[in-house]
Amino acid sequence: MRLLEYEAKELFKLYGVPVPKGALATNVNEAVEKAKEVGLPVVLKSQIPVGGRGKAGLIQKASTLEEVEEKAKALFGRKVGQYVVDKVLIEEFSPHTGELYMSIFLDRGERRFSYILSREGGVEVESVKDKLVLNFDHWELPDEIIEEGWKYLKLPEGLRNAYYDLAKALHRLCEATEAELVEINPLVYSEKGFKALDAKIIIDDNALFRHADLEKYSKKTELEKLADQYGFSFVPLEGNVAVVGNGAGLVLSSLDLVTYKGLKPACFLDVGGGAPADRVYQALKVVSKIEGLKAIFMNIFGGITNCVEVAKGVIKARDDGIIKVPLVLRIAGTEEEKARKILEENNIHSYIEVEDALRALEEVKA
Amino acid sequence: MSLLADILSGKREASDVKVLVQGITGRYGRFHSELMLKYGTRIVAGVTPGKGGQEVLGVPVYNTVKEAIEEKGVEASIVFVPAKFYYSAVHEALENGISLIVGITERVPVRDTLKLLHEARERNANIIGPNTPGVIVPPKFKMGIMPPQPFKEGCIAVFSRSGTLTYEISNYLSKDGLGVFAAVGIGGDPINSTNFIELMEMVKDNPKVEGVVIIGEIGGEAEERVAKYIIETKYPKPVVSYIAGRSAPKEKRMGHAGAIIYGSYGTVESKEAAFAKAGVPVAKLPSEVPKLMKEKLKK
Repeated sequence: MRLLEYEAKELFKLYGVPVPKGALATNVNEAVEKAKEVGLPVVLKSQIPVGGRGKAGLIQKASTLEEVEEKAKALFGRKVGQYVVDKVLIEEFSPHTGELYMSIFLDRGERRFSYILSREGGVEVESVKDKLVLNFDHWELPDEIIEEGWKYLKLPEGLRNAYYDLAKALHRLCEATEAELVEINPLVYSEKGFKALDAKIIIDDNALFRHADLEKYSKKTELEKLADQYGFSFVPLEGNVAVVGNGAGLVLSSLDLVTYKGLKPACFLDVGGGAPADRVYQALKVVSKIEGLKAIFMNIFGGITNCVEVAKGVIKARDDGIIKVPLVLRIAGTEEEKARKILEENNIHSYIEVEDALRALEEVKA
Repeated sequence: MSLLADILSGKREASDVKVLVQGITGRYGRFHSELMLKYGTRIVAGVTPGKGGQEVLGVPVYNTVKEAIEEKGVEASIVFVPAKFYYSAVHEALENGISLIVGITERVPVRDTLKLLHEARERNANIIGPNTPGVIVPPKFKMGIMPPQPFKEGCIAVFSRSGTLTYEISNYLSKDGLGVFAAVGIGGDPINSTNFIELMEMVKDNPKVEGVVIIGEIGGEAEERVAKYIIETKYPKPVVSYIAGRSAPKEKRMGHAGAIIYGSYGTVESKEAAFAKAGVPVAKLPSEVPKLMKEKLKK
């Protein structure tokens, strides 16, 4: 779960990571009001979860209230990919001496966490050569590592205590929220100390059961909530062919195949292993609610999943009028012959080979 | 050497291993215990705290792992407990000297996985998973939830981040006559307690294994590391790969917690480029894997 900047900054403040003074606006009038509170000049920051907001013009500086109004008008309602700007963070302008980078990140390759610093802030850390990456076991960020970071940064001696406090606060926050990433980019400094100009937090979704307080940050749509209720892995996408299957890898691979044929997936839905008929039925119910849907591609490789159950679920969904678009079904594995026979008796065709099913899917679209 | 290394290197007959099931009284644990027993796995004990003294499928149930070891001499454990209890179950198994643990459990917090990995290393034990379909060594050993039909005894080691794709690709390998020596799911999570490289190292000198199939997916850098390892060690066996997720959008978890792209980190393109350098062909379709493997084996 990725938090928006203003949400991440709420948590930063709570754990003692210094952030600029700021307030959230949800419309143009509010933007002007908040700018008065915060004090001019201000920075207007669009709250959408994409990188490179500065370059895309989604972050604007304003020195007068007129300018705030004008820039807020331009930002609110702006569409970026699948996101629309509906919240703008109004923040005081923070003059500074220099920009740095600081993060704590789950290092999947090393199977530990890493503490990352760079003397070049404000750019994508992957593309930066000048950086320090130090691995540690997540439960303790040792002083030796913090000290190595201090030596690398070469900051004025007067900032030493503030730096130690900052590193420790960031680590506390990372552990308390069970984050996979906490990132400050840029981290700015002046003789007065540090400030996190931007904030990024990605929470480990699997740990959310231990953090009821973080649930408020979840941004699920109604359809995602419904899929959650049924216990499906569901990711809405922008196309019009629903992709359904059993097992995350198989669905992911099906998504690739559909895309490879020049079609656009509308979603990723994994019914999970061993799905009985009613789960297949529920899955079809969920995807049928997707707006503008043109077809459903269902790819089943029965292992624990019994193909007969899948067939029953599909037939019931068809009979109940839930399936309103063409369904292309590939079914193989456990009890496939029996399933195919039941489907044929009910006038539903199914394919053995994925390639044949994909050809049929192309024809549906044509 | 660890128990898992002994099995995968061919030094130990897998079907002799005495297996414990943690969470045997649950619906899921019981269902799969029955299938594993049917396949030939030597399940000799189960553990569910508070349910000691019962029998499930003729297998005695104990309250603690310690009792199961004392009474039945179990060496390996397969874990079906819910995510909330995963840490304590695996911790208990490690503490009592179990040296191979298969964690079927899904949705385990990553910090629990990391802590357990740390504990396992100190004891020279291996954890497979979590969020794995397990390990199968046809024709008689299965610590996992995979269907047996796709796995015909053969000469290929299949290591994978995905369950169903393992079944699908193993099925192609079996139909094509190559068959499977062993298939191991490393898990769909960001952290794999046993990773591709560790498994490849274990089968490296096994004369029964002629080639390795790596089934990867988006997210992380496991495949890139495999490529580097192949180059650096001049890996002696041919390796073929399939990678799922070419069409996945960025910053979305595609079913598996570990299947997520950040920026250019974790893309199929990056993994393919790394494999190209290591001379590993990447199949465009799962069905192409046997053909690519046969071409590599000829050379």
